[in-house]
Amino acid sequence: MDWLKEIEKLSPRQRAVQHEPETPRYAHARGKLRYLIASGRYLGERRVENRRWEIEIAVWAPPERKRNPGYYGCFRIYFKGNEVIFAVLFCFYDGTEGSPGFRSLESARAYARSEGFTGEENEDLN
Amino acid sequence: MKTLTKKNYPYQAAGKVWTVPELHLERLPDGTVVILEEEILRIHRAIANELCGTPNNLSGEEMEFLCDVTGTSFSDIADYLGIHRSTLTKWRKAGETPKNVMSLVLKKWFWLRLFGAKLGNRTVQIKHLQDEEHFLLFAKARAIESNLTEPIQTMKA
Repeated sequence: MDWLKEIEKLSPRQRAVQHEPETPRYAHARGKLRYLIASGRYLGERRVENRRWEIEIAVWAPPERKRNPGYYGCFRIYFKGNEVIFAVLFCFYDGTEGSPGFRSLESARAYARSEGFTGEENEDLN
Repeated sequence: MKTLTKKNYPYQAAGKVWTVPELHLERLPDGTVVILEEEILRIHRAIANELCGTPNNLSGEEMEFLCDVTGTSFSDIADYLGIHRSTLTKWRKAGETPKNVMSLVLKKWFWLRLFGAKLGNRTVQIKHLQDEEHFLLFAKARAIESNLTEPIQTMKA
């Protein structure tokens, strides 16, 4: 299932960015939240240990400027029953501040897989 | 969720640090502290209004910020300015941005994309339309007066 589509349906009161000390990358994460949701490609999901009503997903969105890395993000999705009720962007990598930078969907997908995100293996590869 | 309020919070955006008089954060039941997208949009609208309403040339970071806030792509900008996309690419590679009149025209465009629909039927006196700079100063104040956004300032060094 493409959970990004479910996140897209949420209201701005149901989507958030995990708060961190101010850095340019955290500022960038806030600025790119909507872009990540609208243009992101779903990479896979993983379960959260001991948390039945949460899953985490990884996404990657292409850069606006070709020479830059794209935006890799992870959302924690909260459920009530089968319904998605809240989503938090808790990880954002754009190649700055020592964070990994991924220039292609394939490289982002390989990294996501190494972090335990699985599913949708063949999506978007064609 | 429990709301936490931070006063005079130093908020980074568009390559600058801004003083947000009151920043609202939420503590989730699992203890995670987050900023809601709704709060991000509130602050970013204020910053966009301030950036558009001042006559300085747009920096690259400011232009990217305004694109993010308004959901605009660089291709949209090229189309609007009537320049070839490769021209914009060349500028970006050289670290340049549209200057002077072009910068003001872009600011007006961004401002109208953000607030224009809500103020579309308001009357504007001719004195405010004599040039883009006058209009943008007027527009910034009008957006605040109309409670579409709030005043915000960059942090003093």
